[in-house]
Amino acid sequence: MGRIICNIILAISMGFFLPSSLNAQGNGLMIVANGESIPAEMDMVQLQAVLKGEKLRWNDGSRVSIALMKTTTPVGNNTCEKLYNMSGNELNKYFLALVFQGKVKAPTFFNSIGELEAYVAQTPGAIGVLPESKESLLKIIIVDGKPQI
Amino acid sequence: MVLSVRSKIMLTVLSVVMLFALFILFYYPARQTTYLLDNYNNQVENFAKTVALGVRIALNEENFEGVETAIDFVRNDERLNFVSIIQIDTIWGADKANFKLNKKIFSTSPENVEVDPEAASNKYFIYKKAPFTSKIMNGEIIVSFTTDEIEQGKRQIRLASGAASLTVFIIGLFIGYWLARNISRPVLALRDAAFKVGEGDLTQSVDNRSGDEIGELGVAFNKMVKDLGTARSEINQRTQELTLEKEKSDNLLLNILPTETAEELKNTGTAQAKYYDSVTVIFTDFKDFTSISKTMSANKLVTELHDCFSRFDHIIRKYNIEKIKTIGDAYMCVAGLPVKNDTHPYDAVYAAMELRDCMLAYNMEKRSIGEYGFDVRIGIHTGPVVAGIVGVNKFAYDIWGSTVNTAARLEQSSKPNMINISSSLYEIVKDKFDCVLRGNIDVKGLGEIPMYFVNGIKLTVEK
Repeated sequence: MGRIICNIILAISMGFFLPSSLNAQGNGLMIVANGESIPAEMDMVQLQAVLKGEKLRWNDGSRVSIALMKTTTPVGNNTCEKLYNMSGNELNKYFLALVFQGKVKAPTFFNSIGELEAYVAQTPGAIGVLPESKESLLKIIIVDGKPQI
Repeated sequence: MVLSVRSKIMLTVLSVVMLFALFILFYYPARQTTYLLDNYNNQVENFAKTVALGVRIALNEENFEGVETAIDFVRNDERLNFVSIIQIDTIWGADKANFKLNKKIFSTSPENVEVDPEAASNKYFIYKKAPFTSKIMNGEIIVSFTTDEIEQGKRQIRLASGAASLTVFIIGLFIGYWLARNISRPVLALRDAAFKVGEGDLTQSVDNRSGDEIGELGVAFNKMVKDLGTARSEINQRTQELTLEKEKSDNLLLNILPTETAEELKNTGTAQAKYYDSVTVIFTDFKDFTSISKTMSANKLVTELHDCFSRFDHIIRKYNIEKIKTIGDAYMCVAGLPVKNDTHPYDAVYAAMELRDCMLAYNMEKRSIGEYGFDVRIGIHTGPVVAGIVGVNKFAYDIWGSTVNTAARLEQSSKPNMINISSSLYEIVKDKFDCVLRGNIDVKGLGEIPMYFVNGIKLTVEK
């Protein structure tokens, strides 16, 4: 009986202190994109190069538009750690320096996954990072042979 | 040095134009340059502030659109030297009481430009800074623009100012010349016309087509000259009339006064009585005039006397003898005054002979038509007299002295158509005239005095 009560309290606490997405999902990420010319499969190095702005245009000439969750969100924070190997502040400073020199187009940061999905869906050439999900209408990029990172 | 009106006007206009041209040449470019610099500084400062705002939004809200737009806008400006983000970190001392600010260049565009975070604006570059703060990083944006455009703008302003100044000066020069010409020309024409009017040419007139004050001056001048001409014509007419009147009055005066005495009277208002130590006085009278006059009308009598005395006047004038007066049928004249001469005794005798001959001829005329004639008696005496004018109204030139009385007595003692002279005259003219002694004849007031008849000119003398 006591164990049951502890599990209930733990469950309620998780509901309060963890984002809802994490409640439903794990720490995995998946890459979604909008565009036929965007490779369906990439290795991690290629993906990082794209996400760091080193690739400005896809093969069909469409511009690479990066969509990320804000670094203040768990997904965004997770993205920074897994894909950029940086903290959120470092990521912002990284892009600020490049944007300032006109080398890259800065990513577009979103507060919610829905907004990010909608942006990718409406923007040809867009590539975004979402928390792992088994269902998505967007094109999912296989990274190192896996749909989740 | 006296400047002409034209020069003064030209100098005035040119001075104003010069001031304006200098204003355009120096003051206007200076002001424009200041405005240009201020605007440029403001523009660069606004660029820095805009970029700083974009950076702050990007770092705080992870929205890079603003900074992208701002930095693209700045970077595309050809005047850009560099735009740089300076990261400022606060380094606290170990005691946490002191700190220092560490500035380092975070990012610069273009990359290859060396940036001095402490650089200040100079002749070639403008540096503007705008601070920003964020939860990630604090710092400032430095924007540096070249001043090439400013220098080019200054050159263009100077060029435009110089061209405008030159244009203003040339236009002012033409306006000044036009004004000077338009003002001075009528003034000079007025001056020349006034000179000619001063010289007496009253046919002058000036052009007064302009409706300004100078035109009005011309109208007034023309009217003045016209009025002067009219006045001069009237004066000339009056002068002619006065001259005629003067001639008349002079002639009238000369009829009653000797020329010299008349001149003295005109010049001084008076005529001094003069003593003449030797003159010859002639008296004539018509025998039985009173009885003959009773047979004539008054008009006929005056006419006859006028006829006779007019002939006398013509005769004595030939011998420079001065007529003194007529009293009834008596005629009195004197030789040797007012201008003294040595020939008056002879002149008098010659004139007396001609008077007598004149009356003889007159008598023959009268008797030929059945009328009475007049037998003239003539008396002549030489001696001193005093001559002058007496009275203030109807004054008359007259002579006084015993010589006058003696001459009158000699006339009274004469015979019809005879010339009776005194012994003093006889002694003078006896060599030239044939005279006959009548003996001593008693004269009232004088006693017995010797008298002579003049028969005529001595033949030997005539030869």
